[in-house]
Amino acid sequence: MASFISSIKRKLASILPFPRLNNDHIVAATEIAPSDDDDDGDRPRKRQRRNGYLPLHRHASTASSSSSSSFSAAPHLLVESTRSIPPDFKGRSGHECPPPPATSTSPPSSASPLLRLLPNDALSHCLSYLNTPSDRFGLQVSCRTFRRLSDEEGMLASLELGGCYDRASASASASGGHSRFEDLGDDDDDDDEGEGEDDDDDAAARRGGGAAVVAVAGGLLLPPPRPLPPTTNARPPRRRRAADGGIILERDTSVTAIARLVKFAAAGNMQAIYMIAMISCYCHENLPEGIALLRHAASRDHLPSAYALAIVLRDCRRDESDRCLARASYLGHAPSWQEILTAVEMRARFGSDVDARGLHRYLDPPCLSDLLGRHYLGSVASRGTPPGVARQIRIERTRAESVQDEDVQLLQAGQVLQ
Amino acid sequence: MFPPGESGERNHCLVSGGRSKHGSFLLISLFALRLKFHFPQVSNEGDDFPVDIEVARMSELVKGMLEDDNDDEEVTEIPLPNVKAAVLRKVIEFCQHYQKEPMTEIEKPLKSAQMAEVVQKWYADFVAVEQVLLFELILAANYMDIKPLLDLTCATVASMIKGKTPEEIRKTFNIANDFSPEEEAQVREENKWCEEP
Repeated sequence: MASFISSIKRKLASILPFPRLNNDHIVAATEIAPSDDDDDGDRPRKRQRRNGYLPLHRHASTASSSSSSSFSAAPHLLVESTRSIPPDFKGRSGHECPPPPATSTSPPSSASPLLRLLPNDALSHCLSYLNTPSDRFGLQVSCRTFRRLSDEEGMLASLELGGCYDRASASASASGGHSRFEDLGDDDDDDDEGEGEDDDDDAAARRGGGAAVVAVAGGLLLPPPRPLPPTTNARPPRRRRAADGGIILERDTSVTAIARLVKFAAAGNMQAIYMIAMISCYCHENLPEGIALLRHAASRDHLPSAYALAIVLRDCRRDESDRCLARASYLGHAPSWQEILTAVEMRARFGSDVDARGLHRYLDPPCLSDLLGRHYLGSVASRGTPPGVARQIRIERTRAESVQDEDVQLLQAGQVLQ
Repeated sequence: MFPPGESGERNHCLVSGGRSKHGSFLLISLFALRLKFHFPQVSNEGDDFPVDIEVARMSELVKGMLEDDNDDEEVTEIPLPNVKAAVLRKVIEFCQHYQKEPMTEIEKPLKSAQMAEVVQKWYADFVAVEQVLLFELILAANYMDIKPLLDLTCATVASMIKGKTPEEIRKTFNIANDFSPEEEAQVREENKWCEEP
């Protein structure tokens, strides 16, 4: 019985591809190397030296499954058992499984069993469970393969870009910041009839985000719009960003924000398309492009886009606007119902008990609202303030705030003294 | 699983895998009573597993073979060049348990780095194995096209990445940093918006 088994083992050893492949590899190396020898100076010398003793060393070591084997197939697997995965196995999609082109050239990365064993489609499947912004940073920075896979269309299209309100209010209250949306949220917490109030505020915020809406709607009728400053100012770095986690940063201008969003929009991320559209409409007053983008997103049932498009077109293309609202409300978008129904009807349909947190999802992404608000504050056209005056106002406001801070400090000091 | 003789022979199949000159293979017969694996290089006697045909059908690969196989041959040979006995045993174990207790759908994105909070305990324990075996399970699930198993194993790899810094990810999977310092600085700057504060 034992001899039968050992004969089977011998046969298997002859079938197994590793030793033979390793030998082939080395023979090939010895054949090629001398021809290189005469060509250039430094490298051939090294090769020659290697040829001097390494093949013997290799031959000896292949039998005992060397860990220094240059062959990429799983040295430690050989240690574990001799029936390892054949090196030429390909994934079902036909991708070469272990070394993707970027990593195959660098020997250290093939040390990772993850990158070496799994085909790209399996790795993509793994990473598809990680399409959140916080995990994206880890994937993008850790290595080239992860970066490439996390930049695939499916990942970009489903990534949440807007940031979240809970974290925003938490971080803002921690830093003493104060934003329109926290006011909104606070109101709702106090107010039992939250929904109507909230949606009014939402619409107002949207209109206020540029007084732009009026200008936008009028812009279709009046072909040559007034020349406007092309970009939004970045907010001075003094204040911390209220909207934590969104793709648009505190220091972004409208132009840099769009530059960062384009990659996601091209991959079909509706949120990115919506944000670019809103920035185009409200900051750059590039109406044709903005409306085209909103139409594109609305046609794919992105509800905020349908709602925004309806608001933008309300005064000039009533039919299309109504159609958008009808579609969005049919799909359950509360602000669209708010546009259609009266307050009493709203209450009858949705009840008066509305959760403020639930309503947050109908607001613009916080980072976008922040940018639009910044634009509105800094924009001459939308506020009608000459630039010098606006700057003066800003300077005075900061001065007033610092004076207030000093007052508070003095007050506290006084209390301590008393 | 059906007790032998109760539900009739047609409900069972025979699957046997082994390594020949052409690699491992899987034999399926609609008329036999037992699912049988035989890996001479692993165990001297070979391993026998009785398996319900529904379990074998969880693999789209096997299912396709069974449907395509209209002729009344008793045994179908499916080449499995990359599935080892230990891995195949785990795959069968998963499929059998799945019949008894279907796995909850795993949400995207993953909501926790602990698999026990994502799926039932049995499944969380099932994938608590060393990395190489986990990756081989992924390969097997990918090859045999068993979606729930592929989801589970891939989500497990994802859970090992979730919430980690780039350095921790590299360390976990023994990945080398193949960015040049300039490139890394550029990538960090480009993704500054999604960096955890």
